[in-house]
Amino acid sequence: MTVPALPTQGGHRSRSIWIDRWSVLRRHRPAMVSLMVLVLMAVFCFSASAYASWMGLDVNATDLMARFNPPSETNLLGTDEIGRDVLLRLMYGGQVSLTIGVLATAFGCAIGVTVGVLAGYLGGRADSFLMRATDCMIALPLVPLLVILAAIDLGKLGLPPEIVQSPSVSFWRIVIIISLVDWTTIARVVRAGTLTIAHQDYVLAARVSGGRAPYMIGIHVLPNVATPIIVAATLTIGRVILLESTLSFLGVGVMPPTPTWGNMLNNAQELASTAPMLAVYPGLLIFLTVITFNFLGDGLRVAFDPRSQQR
Amino acid sequence: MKIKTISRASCSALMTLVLTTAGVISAPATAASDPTKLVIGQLQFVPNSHPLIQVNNTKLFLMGFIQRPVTAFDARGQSVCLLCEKKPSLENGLAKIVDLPGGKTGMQVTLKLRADAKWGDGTPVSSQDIALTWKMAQEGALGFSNYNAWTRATKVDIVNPTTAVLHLDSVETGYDSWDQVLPSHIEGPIYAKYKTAEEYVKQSAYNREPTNPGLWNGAYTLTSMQMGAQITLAPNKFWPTAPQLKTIVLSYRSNAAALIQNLLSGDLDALPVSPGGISFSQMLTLRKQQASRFDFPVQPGYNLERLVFQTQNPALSDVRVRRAIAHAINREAISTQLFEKLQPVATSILAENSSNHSNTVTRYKFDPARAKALLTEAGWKPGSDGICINPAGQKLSIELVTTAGNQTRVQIAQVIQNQLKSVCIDAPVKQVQIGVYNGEEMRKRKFTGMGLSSIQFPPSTSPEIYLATNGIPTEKNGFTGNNFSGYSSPAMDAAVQEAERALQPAAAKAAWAKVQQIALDDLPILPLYYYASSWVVPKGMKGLDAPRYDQPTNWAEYWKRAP
Repeated sequence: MTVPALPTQGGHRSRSIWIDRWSVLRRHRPAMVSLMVLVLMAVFCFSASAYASWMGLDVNATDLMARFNPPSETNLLGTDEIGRDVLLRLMYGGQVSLTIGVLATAFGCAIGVTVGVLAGYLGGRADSFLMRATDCMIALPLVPLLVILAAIDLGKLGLPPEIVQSPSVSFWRIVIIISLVDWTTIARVVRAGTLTIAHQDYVLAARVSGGRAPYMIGIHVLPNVATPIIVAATLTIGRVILLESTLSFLGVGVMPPTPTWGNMLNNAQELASTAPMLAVYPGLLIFLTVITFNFLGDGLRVAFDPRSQQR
Repeated sequence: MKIKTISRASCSALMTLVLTTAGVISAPATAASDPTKLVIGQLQFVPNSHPLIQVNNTKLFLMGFIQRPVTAFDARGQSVCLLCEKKPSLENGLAKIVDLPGGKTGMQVTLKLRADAKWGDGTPVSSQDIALTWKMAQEGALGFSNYNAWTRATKVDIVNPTTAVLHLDSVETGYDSWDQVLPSHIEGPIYAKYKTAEEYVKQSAYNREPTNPGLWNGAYTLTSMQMGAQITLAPNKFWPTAPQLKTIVLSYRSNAAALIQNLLSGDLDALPVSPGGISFSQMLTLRKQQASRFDFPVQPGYNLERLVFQTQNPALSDVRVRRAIAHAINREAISTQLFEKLQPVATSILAENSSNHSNTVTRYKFDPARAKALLTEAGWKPGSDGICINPAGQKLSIELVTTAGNQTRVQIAQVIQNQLKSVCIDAPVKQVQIGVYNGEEMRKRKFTGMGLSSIQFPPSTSPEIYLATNGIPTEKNGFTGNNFSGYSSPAMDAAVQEAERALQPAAAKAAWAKVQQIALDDLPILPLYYYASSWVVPKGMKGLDAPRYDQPTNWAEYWKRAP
């Protein structure tokens, strides 16, 4: 005896939700343009060492006789106040600024997701405590707090001198302190999503069936709050890049001679009338990066929202 | 396609771009400035208004207007009387060398105050004020930090209301330099009641009522103090010479760019050039662009920018490595390209306009080949990455620490880093906040390689604190002394003692020549360039004489703006 085949639904095959989301994102023109711009920017920044080798340039080589040179064949965007190639410093600076943006966002997400999931899943006193802690963090003035944290002497915290004096310490310091203060938005978003998911029937059924907290969180909660996490993270990257710029602008960011867009902007404060383009270039790149991440975030929000009319 | 709203973060980025590319040129002030008023921009607010506690350049700048020292150095570097009638000297008998018990020699210095010196409430400045100030310094709890310490005197005798004799237990060149005194009629009763530093600082009239005219004996008194924002000064009606300017306002901004913007918009009238104001490079830019609106007096100064070497560093303990660094740095290029030679290369530890400057000392010319030869001689050979290594395989890596927030200094640090790399020395740059630099790095000698900052050798201060073994700050001596390199040399100690005792000009010049030669031979510090003393002032302003060991504000009554 054969079992009759079930009729197909209108002749269509079922699609992965991720393919669905991608096709919606593709139709969001600002997001796609922004994505292309970001890809090009990453390629631009991370090809710095290849460009340096090709042109025979050193990002930190100073030449006091070649200060403020106009654009030329050797220095396509000219030189800065101590004779360094501006284009190369923008490229290397972008590496640092973008990497800080991505890493600090990733670490901040990790903290925010942990706090939000625990608050939403455990509820009760744990939720109250975690959310009050989040509120306290939100209430603190962000920039002064970052400046204070950036000024802490690491030697006094007990770190060995080899670490304190290593050239990468200022980079990791900025990543860590930004992620320590910038997780609150994601925590609140994740908590809200967790509260909704945690009270769904299938989740309750899984709990009744003996599912423990790690299983419930890992299998049921996290995948269902991934959407707001991804969107919030995209928007956070832009904010983190601005924070790094602000810290460098205030003189407590990544230390020279390592270039970042922020410390290039900081150096250009005194040169606004002598060489204004030294401020325009990093400022423009920061602006472009932040706005493209914002548009991408908008596009992702539409793509991930099942109720969006653009689907 | 819908037009998307630009998010707040994007607006911030756009504002950052706009603000940082805004030109320095702004619309000039629409109303003519009052020629009897001068608004001076400043970067750093004073920590308090007490003349002798937490003394720094910012405090001295303010004090020059309102609280005159007994003596000060004029443009020629000569000590002159401000509150005294006649400067004490061996020649006029107001200073004497005396024999002390135990075979020692000391001095007696007579300070005779001007009869017309009065506090702002009309009370005469008297020898009681000298005695009280000395007593408060001597008892030690208050931590007075003025440069010409009252504690050099071991005893004060009051002869009459305007005359006091100070007894010193050693012979020293600075016997004729004495700082501010405190009003005994106001601070005396307060100090009698509150002896500890914490109590006194809180209860002092300088803290509780800084606008009390009786606290001030200078050409001006403090009439208003808005913490962190503004200080207003008005003429002291009891000062003998009526000031030309009837109002002086010190107006504080958070950064140099804001100072310039406010200057060009007319909110500020004048700016000092670093310390406390804009950088020398910014002044040079303004000079090119705003020559029709402002004058830019530039005079040779006395401050010295230098590299201090940590002699406990194994590499730097070898004088050949220190000399190699001296040859590797192109100081001429730094002076020419960054300062248009207005801040000249420092050939010695004393400025060229100092009466004790020596022209015959060793010079370190820019010579990278010589630098490399010295390093090879010292056992350092280039490694595969271009950085020198010794036979044990250790890299020649010497950290360079400097103060954060000083753009010019950071630029110079990066130039030095690059120049040292070309002779195979790796010099990672570290910036720290000024408090950490002056405290942990220098005073506690935690810096591991080189430090970049400025010092001064005033005529009244013995070179001992910078160059002698006794000047090394240690835990034992409470970290006093400014010999941060830890340099110790019997020859230098002997030369310093000779300079301390050389009271006659010719003997002082010869003794200081020895000190300078030894300092350049041993190179515990490498002089880089001399600071110029400079201002940005309204066009036609007269009376502001820039170069002095002391603040030009000590002569503010002679400042006059064009009508």
